[in-house]
Amino acid sequence: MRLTNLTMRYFIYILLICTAFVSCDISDNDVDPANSFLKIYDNNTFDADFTPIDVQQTSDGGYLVLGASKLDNSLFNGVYLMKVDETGTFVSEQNLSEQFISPAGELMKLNNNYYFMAMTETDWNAFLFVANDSGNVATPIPLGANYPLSATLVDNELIYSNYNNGNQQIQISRAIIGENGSVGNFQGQSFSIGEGEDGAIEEIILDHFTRTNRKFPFFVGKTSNNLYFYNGFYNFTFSTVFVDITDNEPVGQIQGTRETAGLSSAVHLSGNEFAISRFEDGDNFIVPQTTVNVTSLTESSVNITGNPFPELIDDAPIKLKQLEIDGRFVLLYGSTTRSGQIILLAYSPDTQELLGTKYLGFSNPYRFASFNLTDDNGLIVLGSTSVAGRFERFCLFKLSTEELAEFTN
Amino acid sequence: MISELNQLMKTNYLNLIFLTLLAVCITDYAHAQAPKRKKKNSYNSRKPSDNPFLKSQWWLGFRAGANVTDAVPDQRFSAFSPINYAEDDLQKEYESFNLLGGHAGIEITYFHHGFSFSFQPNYRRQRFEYSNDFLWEGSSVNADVDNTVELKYVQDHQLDYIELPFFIKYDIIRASQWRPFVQIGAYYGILTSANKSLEVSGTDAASGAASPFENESVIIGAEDLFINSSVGIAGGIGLNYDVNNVRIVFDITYRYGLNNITDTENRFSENQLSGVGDALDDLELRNIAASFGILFPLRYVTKNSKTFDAIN
Repeated sequence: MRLTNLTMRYFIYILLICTAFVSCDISDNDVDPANSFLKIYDNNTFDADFTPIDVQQTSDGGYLVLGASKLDNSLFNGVYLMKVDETGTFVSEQNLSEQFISPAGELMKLNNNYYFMAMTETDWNAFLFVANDSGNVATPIPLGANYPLSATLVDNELIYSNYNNGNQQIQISRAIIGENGSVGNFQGQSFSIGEGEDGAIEEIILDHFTRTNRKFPFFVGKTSNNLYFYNGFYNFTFSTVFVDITDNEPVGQIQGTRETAGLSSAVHLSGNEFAISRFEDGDNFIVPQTTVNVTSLTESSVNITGNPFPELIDDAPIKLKQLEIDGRFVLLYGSTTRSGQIILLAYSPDTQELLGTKYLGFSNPYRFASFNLTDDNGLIVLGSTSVAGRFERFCLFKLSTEELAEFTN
Repeated sequence: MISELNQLMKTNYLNLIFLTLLAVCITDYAHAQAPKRKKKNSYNSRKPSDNPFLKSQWWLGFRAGANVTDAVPDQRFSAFSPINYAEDDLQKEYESFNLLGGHAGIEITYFHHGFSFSFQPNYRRQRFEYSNDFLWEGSSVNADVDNTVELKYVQDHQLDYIELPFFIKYDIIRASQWRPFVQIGAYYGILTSANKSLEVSGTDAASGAASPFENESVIIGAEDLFINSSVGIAGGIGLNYDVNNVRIVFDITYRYGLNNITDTENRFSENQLSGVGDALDDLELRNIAASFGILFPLRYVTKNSKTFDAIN
């Protein structure tokens, strides 16, 4: 009987331990669906096709996605805005493709308004669009320019570039966005693309707007010492051009090699220090820190040494941002791998050390578009994937705070 | 509101099990710690038939069998979010109790006066299956209405658990070679491995195919998609058959899972089939298991021992 009691007690102890263990395992298994998710936005129309551009979190916790949709009767892409809720579930869409084409990033957030550029289909005039949290678009603001290429927001200063096909120049402009959403104080300078008689450079630029050739990494920015820069064609060459917005001569430039080499992304760190990525004959290089003589007109991108990344697709589109993650600054690169995954690379801006890598996407090929920090210190990543191996659709990855910190620490 | 109530009930189930076990333990402990009064001539005064030792029996043996599983979804999830069709179209269709799994283990049973307390650790494979259908059609505007692609994804899940069930059995008829019994209990399962196999079939009319196609199935690891624990209650009926000194057991048991077995944290991030829209729903398992066992008494039983009532 003593043996019996003892054994029974063992049974009970085992069960109690198991029950206690179970309680922990099960009670922890209740994660907020908004913390981390993957959503693929499927449209069951056979010939529908979407190209993602940028994403921003809205003040209601949801997300606004800017993209382009394939048009049946045009080589240009239409303007497409999509609103999703905080768990990534589709809420609504705005298709502006009847009138407006070729949306250009970024999707810029200021005072709960979301700004982006596009142009009219009839005369290629550039407009600035303002959307609210729900993705509803107000009457667009004309910018007095053609063919919008890229835009960014530094505080409340809108910086954008466009191509003026009349005089074959790329123009960099800035404007101030007021608290009431008004846009004013326009200033800009234009610089020749150096077009020859064959019209080859202009053709390359126009092909960028259609679905007939490669997309070029046009971008704009501003250094902390009030120097503006744009990535685009200058003097026959794809170059990063530094300008004083009041002077019609460039201050300096990083030259590429015609259209085969140049920078694919750049972030100003301090002084003459930049974090960049560059492409050269299909190869890609990540350079977490380099010193650029911004007043030199002979700097060449191919001379900038960096980490080669054969893992990336040829001339990979790369997005680079300096973000504050977990209390410290991190350089985050996003791009697309040859294996059809989205790759995020975190570098230290201080030591240039690779902190971590994160791959996103399984089973279908995925392509990277953009990323942004979220209010909960997570990351929202926009891309596209080929559903059923053939239908190009938007996808959103939401990384939780822990997932982001895991590979950036 | 309903899901909150369900959650509350599940929590209460767990608490009830915990508290019951705690009460049994405390009672047992209190009994053990109670002042032991030595009875006068306790050994000699008791009749042999009153001796509790002789009214109890330990059984040890093996058991194995087959089982079928039904996965019951609570909150539904998908990696797809539809833009121009209903979200309900994405819901998985679950097959109930259609795939055969298996289990094998040992049984240790303590019998006392018609009641048995049985611990039956076993290794078991449980399988369940669901499918999704997708259709992409050409728009009538472009007169390409024949451009259709129809796909069906069938996913078979194999979950392997080490299960620790505890049953209380009651023999309905005792004075017979055939001894039917009922049993109730609870179990705790520890996940040891999980796999998914995906089978894609469909019709690709856009490519000019006139007949359906079927691709080879793909098997992937899915251990990260499920939490380690599976806990629930169980009940069943069975039959013991005593032959010589061996007891043959057959029982059918229904297991009712009380917890969500899906790992909610890894639902999207670790799912290698998310590209085909897959994301596990919140799931509870129901399982029907039929088992055969052979048990051996740990004390020898003879037909001639008239004072010995160990199995009745």
